[in-house]
Amino acid sequence: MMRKKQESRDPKTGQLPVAWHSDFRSLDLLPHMGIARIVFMLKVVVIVLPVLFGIGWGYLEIEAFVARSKNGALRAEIADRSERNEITLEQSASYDFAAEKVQVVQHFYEVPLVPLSFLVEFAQKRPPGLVLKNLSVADMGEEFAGEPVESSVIHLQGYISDTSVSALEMMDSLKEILTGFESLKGRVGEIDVVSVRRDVISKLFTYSMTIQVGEPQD
Amino acid sequence: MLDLLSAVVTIENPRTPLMQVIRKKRPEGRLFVYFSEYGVLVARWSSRGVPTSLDFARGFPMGEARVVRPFLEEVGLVRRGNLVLATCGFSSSDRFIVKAEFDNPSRFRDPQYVSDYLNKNYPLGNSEKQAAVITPDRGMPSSLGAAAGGREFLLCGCARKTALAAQERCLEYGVYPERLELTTISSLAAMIVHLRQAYITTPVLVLDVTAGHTFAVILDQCAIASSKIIHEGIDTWISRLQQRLQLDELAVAKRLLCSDNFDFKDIGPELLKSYLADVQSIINYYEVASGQAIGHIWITGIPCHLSWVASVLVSSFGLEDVTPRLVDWLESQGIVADPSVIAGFEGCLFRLFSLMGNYDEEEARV
Repeated sequence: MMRKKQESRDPKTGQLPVAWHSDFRSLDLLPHMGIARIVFMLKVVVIVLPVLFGIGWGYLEIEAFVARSKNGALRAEIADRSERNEITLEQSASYDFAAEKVQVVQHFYEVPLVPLSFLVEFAQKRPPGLVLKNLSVADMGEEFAGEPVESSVIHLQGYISDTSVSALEMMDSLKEILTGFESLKGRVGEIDVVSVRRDVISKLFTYSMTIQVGEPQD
Repeated sequence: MLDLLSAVVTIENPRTPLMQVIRKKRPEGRLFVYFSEYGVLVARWSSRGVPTSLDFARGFPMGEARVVRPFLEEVGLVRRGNLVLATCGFSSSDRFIVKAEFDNPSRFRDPQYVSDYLNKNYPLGNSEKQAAVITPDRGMPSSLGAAAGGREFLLCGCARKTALAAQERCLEYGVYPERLELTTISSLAAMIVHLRQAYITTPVLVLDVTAGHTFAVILDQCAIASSKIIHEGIDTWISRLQQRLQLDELAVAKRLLCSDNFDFKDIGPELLKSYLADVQSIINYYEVASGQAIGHIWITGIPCHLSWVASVLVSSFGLEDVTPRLVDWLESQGIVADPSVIAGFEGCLFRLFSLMGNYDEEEARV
């Protein structure tokens, strides 16, 4: 007569029946198969990887949602600001236009010397026989004789009624006199005699002289 | 003797295409391998647990690993690397089962202490022992806690080197043992099951015969009551047969002892004379000590064709043989087996089948 028998391996624990079944294995001497560990690792990989992937995907989705929300707000702000920006740009253009005019006026008043003071001092200190015919001032950056000047230049032109030797000496003495001009406030740089030549018709010497005027010294 | 185990009995060829398809689709079943002293026995269930049916049972002579290993790889269903998973059993001449009462049970958790204890207190030799401590009534492993003090336990095992050699043999045959049992223990449990089912209450003498020794156990009330080693086994009888017939070679005597054609009716009792005397003394001692008469005998462990030994013993002592019918025993364990599977070598297969038994709840169920 057949009797119903229990499962030979406990389905809950997976253990084989133990009564009268003593195990005489030496587990430390059995080859290590590592099957259980590999299976465990596979299970871990199968479970953990999708979980990590899901977490990463969720994080990216949240980041994208936040970015999209910020993007909408920023677009609205850009639209709002672009209108104001156009107004500001128009104002800036008109300011730039006005600034050029102001600069021109400012340059006009920022000449390196006061012409009247120079002329008065020149008239007082000029050597006798030397006549000033023309005075011109070229500011820094402007062109003088076809080239831009690096500093302000005063150009003197005039006549000398004397002999050629005396004209040259007069030019030298004029150089010395100009060096000490108070109206130039010690800013006199290099003084060049551009030309001294005789005018055949008037029998006078014409001269041309440039005075380099530097930056005011503190 | 070895040739006797080469008899092959199968009810289902595991190599049939249908079986291969089924096995590939759903690899179920359990493999059992028993390494006896004389050969290798293999059986397989059709499912992992009971109820189940026996796919096949097959025997191989010892020393044919090159033949057995491919067969095991073919029939094995669960693999561990290049090894097949199987419940394994082995038998050994140096096995022992002794009763002991522990005063300091926790010390018996140390295998070395157990080995030293056995060597000191029992005539088991001086080799290192590997033993399991189980309860004598249910065969359950003991936790050896403080409550175990003063109680009786069974120390079952063998020499450690024997157990290691059995394990090595499993690996040599391509088997990864999910458990490695001493079949002396499991077959006693299987016999206890049979005794309960057959309502046999009188003491039973069990003679577990190996090549070198015989292990005599008395089962009383379905528990191990006494055990003793008889230093005589099959090798002794072969040697005695050689002297008796004045044969030149031991191998000839060995072949003769296992021969089907030789009649041992007359010479048998003479060969077993001293053996019978030892067994008789064990019977007498137990009967005097317990006051109970031994009514049954069971001889196990001998090759199939040495059945004349059992006949001589049964007739000499006037005891009744209680060898179970394997088909019935298997059926009681929830295993269906075609009688043709086991016909012819029942005695050999009982030890193999004892590995299949579930004795955990045996006491409660019977």
